[in-house]
Amino acid sequence: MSAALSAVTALLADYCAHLDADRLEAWCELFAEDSTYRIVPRENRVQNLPAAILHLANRNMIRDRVTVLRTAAVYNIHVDRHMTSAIRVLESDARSAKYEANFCVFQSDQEGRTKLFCTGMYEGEVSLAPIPLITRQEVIVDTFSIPALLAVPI
Amino acid sequence: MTVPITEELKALWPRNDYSRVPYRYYHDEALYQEELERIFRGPTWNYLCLEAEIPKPGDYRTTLVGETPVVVTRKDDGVVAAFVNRCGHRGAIVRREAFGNAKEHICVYHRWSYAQDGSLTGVPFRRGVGGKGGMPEDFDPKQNGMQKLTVRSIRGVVFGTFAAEVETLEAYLGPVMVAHIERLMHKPIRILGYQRQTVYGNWKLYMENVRDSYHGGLLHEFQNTFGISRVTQVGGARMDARHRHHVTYSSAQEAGDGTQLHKDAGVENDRLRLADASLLEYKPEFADNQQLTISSVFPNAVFQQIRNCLATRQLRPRGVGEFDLLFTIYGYEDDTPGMLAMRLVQANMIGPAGYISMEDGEAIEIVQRATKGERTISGLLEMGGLGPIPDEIKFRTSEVSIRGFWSYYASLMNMEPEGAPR
Repeated sequence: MSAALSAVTALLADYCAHLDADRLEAWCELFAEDSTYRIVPRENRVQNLPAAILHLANRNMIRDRVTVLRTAAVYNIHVDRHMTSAIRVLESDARSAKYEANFCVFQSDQEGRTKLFCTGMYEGEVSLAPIPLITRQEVIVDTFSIPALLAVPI
Repeated sequence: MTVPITEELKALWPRNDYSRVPYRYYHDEALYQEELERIFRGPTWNYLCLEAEIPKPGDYRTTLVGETPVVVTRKDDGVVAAFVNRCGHRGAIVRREAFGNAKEHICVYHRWSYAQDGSLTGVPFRRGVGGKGGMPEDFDPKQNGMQKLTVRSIRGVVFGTFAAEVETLEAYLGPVMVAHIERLMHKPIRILGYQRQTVYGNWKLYMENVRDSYHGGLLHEFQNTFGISRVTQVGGARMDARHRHHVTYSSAQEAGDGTQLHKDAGVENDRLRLADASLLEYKPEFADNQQLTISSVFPNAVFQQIRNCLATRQLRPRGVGEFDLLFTIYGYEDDTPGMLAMRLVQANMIGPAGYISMEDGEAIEIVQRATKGERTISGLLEMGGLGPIPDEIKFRTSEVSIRGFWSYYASLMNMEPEGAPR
């Protein structure tokens, strides 16, 4: 495994672990200051339309998402479980790497009932030094008719 | 003789002014089937799409009216048409792609072909083979095309109806809603994208939710905190004479000390701080200075302006306990790059992940869950007054517009209680 692939794999593992454990503040710190996080419906991507489901244009906006969830937002009480597979590095150099991966998220309610919540692809980029950080994360969702609502990032 | 479901359920209204709504109305399967027939396939105009989504001749999109699959398309002559997306032969879906461009529509099952307006143009082996087989002599293609809807547009907003006898679209919408659509569509628009949401609740709970200005600043702490919409703001609602549609609006002006009034009411609205406030940037672009307008057209459309975030929302019922929402986000053709960027960021407020809209999904679902199986108990709609339903409400602590929805619903469903207001 190349150094870039092992860095991306470890970063995505932390990414999923933080989200699933409700360590949302720690999840924010996996992003570089100048980074973007977007959740894009596959239909918008296919039709070359610019709107997203969630469009966070820098790390402060990513942190704000978590602040709103912690402070003010009303949403379904649940547990997420992320599965990633087929993590690939598309290109890399000493400083950065572009990656993609498949993902799915299962969501469980307070009575222990689980549903497939969402599946799709991550398309992103990391800066590798001094420590690996995400600079771009596009979450392309195949499940773009979102079941109920999407509060916690995926 | 069995009593029709509408007769049986009509008897459940506790009061005749729609200030109490029996929970059973959100759960009764037989009532839902009647709604599909009497409302969505009845004498109503259903929102289909925006003309900007089908700009070129041959462009089409599939959509739904109630649960009926429909194709809406621009013909080569530029006229917009719509037809039921179902082959006249065996009932298969003809146009399986969600969108595209086509000169004709061909059913995959037996290759029956249709013109752009859904008229039947070709039946393979209609005369049989070698004089054997084929369709009867008197088979009339004109009688066997796909079922057509009557289609009308207003400022590029496309509506369709199944009803043969129905008032004109302008008369149906009424002057309040016509003026509102003209306001929103005052110049050419550009489609920015879609958001979709599947909500696990009865479709009527959503049409109630959008008419409910009381919940806006209470459920949605985000919009309360940042003054996007507060119960304490100067605002209100207007309805057409029949109260089937509504426009609710608010300005940035407060009717009092909004923060203190909320605090007195036990509602928090000053604890949220954003590290990046660009989401809150707002550029007034309408002459009337209303920063928020939410409107609904009976039975399936919402038009929203939340600051610079513009969208239509189409409601698509999927059974008695579930519906889909399709948000079509748009801007104007002459938007500057800065304005476009602002709209894309403000879209974070709406849709399934929106700082505002996502909470409505949860509110509806928890009502649906808690009212299941209830045979006699009703919910309350008393905020803002009882009795007659006025055309205009000049305050935001109101549920009167919701009673307007029910009054028109009841008349279409033949469920009006004795002496009910209209």
